[in-house]
Amino acid sequence: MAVGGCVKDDSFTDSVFVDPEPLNQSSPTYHFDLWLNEIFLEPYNLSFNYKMEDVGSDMDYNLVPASLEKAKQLAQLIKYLWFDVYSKMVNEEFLKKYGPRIIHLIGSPAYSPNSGTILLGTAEGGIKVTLYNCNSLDYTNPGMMNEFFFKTMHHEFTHILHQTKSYPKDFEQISAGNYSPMGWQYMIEQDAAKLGFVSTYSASQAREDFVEVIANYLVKSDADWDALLVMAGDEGAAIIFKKLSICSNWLKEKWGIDIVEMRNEINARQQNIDKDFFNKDL
Amino acid sequence: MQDSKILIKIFLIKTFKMKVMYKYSIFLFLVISVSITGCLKEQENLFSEPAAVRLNHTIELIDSSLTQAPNGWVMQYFATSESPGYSLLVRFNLNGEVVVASNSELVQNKYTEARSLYDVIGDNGPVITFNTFNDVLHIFSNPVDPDGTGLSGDYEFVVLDYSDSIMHLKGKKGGTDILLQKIPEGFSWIEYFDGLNQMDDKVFGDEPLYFITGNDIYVASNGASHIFEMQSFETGDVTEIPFIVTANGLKFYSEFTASNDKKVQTFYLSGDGAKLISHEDKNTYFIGDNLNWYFENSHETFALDTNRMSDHFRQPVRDLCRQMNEKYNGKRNIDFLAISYKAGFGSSFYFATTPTITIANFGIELILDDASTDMITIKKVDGVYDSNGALFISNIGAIDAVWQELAGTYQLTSTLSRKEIKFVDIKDATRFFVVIKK
Repeated sequence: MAVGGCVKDDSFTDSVFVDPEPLNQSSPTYHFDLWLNEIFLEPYNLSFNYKMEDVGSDMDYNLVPASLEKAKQLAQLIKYLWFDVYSKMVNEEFLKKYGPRIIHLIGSPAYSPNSGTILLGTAEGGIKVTLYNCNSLDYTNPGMMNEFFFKTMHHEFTHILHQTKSYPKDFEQISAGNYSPMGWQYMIEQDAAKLGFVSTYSASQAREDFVEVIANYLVKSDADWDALLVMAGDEGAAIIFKKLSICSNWLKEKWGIDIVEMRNEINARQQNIDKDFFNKDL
Repeated sequence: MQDSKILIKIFLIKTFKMKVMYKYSIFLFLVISVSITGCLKEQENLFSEPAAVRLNHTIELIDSSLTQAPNGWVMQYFATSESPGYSLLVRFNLNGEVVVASNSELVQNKYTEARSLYDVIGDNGPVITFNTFNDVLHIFSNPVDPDGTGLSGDYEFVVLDYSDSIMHLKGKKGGTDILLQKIPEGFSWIEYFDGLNQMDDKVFGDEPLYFITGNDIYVASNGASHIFEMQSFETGDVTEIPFIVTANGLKFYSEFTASNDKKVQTFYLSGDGAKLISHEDKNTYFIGDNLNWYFENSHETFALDTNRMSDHFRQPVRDLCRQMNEKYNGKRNIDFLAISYKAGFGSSFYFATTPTITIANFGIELILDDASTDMITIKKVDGVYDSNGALFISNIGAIDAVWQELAGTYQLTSTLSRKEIKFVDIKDATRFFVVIKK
């Protein structure tokens, strides 16, 4: 019977989210839900989960949901600064094929008191991206937005990409011996930079280093990137350039993405974020 | 011959064993047969519907009950079993929106409402989840500190049992017991919180209460924090008891075993405000110190409430205010008048001036004839005042009138907090004044 149950022919739909519940027109989130369906679910087969799903989050942490206001803002920013960028710079099919299937918003950071660190995002098996600390979103503070959200998005998405097409092994040799999976949190930014890491978290392991180089380069302004190189000194900057070169080539060869053009596009779009950017009807 | 006897004996023993084994075999066979029959028999349905269907049905009923309370519910919220309790008012709307209101130190002691979303889901049983951030409710679970714990409260609650008027919930992660009680229609939420704050004011001051249960006495301190520190008079042992202030009094987080083995948990404030009595056992209650003893020994400053005094006092007080204003051209108006205590001087009739700040003391004597009666006698001590008092009394005639008028023997009444005390002349009940602890 069990075998019979397994081999029974099921007719799968195109969406992994089979028969989503019809939207409730009286719901205070009706317009937002409708927008999410049109912007994410239908074109990208992506469920944008702004309502906290405790079972879908890490139960080891104390977490709270995202506020509706911040969820609406973040949804629009994700579309504009992530999905639309890839759609324009690569093609419309790219994120339909490689993009996550679930984005889950969490209001608070995930604190790890033992290590003194906070978790900002996770990517699970190329399917689900979880973004923490959403209630701290402040669109007037680009530095904060980049650090907490957009860097995290590009970081997690690059994980998905390299899990699909692996990055060159040469990259792992550049800083081999300097990675410290348990000690990175005790490092200061300047020491990390001098060793050729774009962030302290880069120093945790090679694959984190790889995605951090791409994510930091994409979201940092020219001034911030230059400041990082100055902090790194000649030796550290040379290592960072070497890593960036490998990342650029990998993106170009494997994915057809010009990292410089994409960075320019992201930076230009970030200039357009102000209070009038957000749709007040959602 | 001997051998054959032995053989026969062995045979008989074997035969006996075989019979026993045979009997056991039959018994085992019957047991197994019955068991197999039992297994093969079709499982009798204890429920008419599958578990998932029943859970969905329960979820619908709970959601229906939640939304059929137009004026909402009182949520008696304890973040943990060791935390003080907070009243939250919660209204669940049919469209999935929830309104949560509070008025506590966690929202800067202002009435605060916040809207967000809720859902009733199936998650190891029916669970009410507040699944978007609510500025009032999620204060308790927001991990704002570096430890990532915050107040350790829940925002998802397993529904243990429910009706149209009451629901027992348990925090999904922390396991704290939480009660939802339907609010009758016609109650204003703001007035509800005002009522709770008034109850707080009536019950909790700086002084400890005494918790009496049969012959056992405990000193109940820190009531204003809503966690009593109960110290046994007899053993000195200290127990912490978190509680929540209710419209009628207070409720412990969990039951307390009174001296007569009765379980007590809820208390109501007596009509005169002087006693919190257990609903479960009338011999278990909270009281305060004797009022006259407290007034004499607290050495606090008690300001006269000029709006709550009989004309016997009001008229001379008005004269005093007017004369001070006229004499000092508005530079030394009466700010407040009080009965106070000054080290090195003793008890005094006292006043403070504004905008030029001056304090003057005039001697009085407080006499307790009988500490158990809540009566006190105030005597004017002629000719005793401090240096400021000496300056003022020579210029302002009404000072002496007020000073003199305060003299008398009074019956004192107050609530447990001792924040206000009413003085009524025992010889003339129309002669009274009220003081407020500064």
